[in-house]
Amino acid sequence: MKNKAMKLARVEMELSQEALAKRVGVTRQTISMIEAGKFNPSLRLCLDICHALGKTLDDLFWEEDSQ
Amino acid sequence: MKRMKNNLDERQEQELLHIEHIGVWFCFWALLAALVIQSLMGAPWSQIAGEWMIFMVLALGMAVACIRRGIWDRYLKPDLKTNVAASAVGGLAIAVFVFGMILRNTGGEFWGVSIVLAVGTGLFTFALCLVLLTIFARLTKKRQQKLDNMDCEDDDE
Repeated sequence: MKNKAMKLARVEMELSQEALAKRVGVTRQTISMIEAGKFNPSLRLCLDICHALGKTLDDLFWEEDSQ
Repeated sequence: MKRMKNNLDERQEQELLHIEHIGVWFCFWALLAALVIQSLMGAPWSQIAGEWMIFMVLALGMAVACIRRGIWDRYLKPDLKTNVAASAVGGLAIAVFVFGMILRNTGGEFWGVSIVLAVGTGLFTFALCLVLLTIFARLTKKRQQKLDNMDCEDDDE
């Protein structure tokens, strides 16, 4: 499932995928694949992304209808 | 010793592990196929000894590493039924291999003896595999229990 919340939060902060990737310490492709729902990041990477975007885990990674 | 910095992020690391996984299993089966084909073609022991040693070190090393971590297999379970089936496959493969070897060495003259020897070797291999798999399965289960208990102790702290 696509992670629209993460993409929205990144765009709100006017960050490119490249810039977010640099802040978090991963490649741009990894950010792109997380947003596209093609890669499941570790909790550590989720937390790093949340810190970089000023959001909580619930904001970015909680899925109401995941059940 | 100072460890070198890892240039990969976690996604790349997972993909590299997947590539290495495919590479190792390809080498394993290709090496086994090369050993079987060379043996059937009559290659002398001195020619295949190196490959055989590498194959055995790889197989034993992986088995020991898995047992130490309490890992058996992705799909198979360490129970008697599965071990009997796996041993039967091993015994049958060795019986066919021995039958082919004897036929090649005797020029196809002694069919009866070839079959008896192949069945005998196959049965012996079946028994040996079953004993080894039973021992390894028991060791793996013991290790799993020990690791589970270690986790419990950590939780209590």
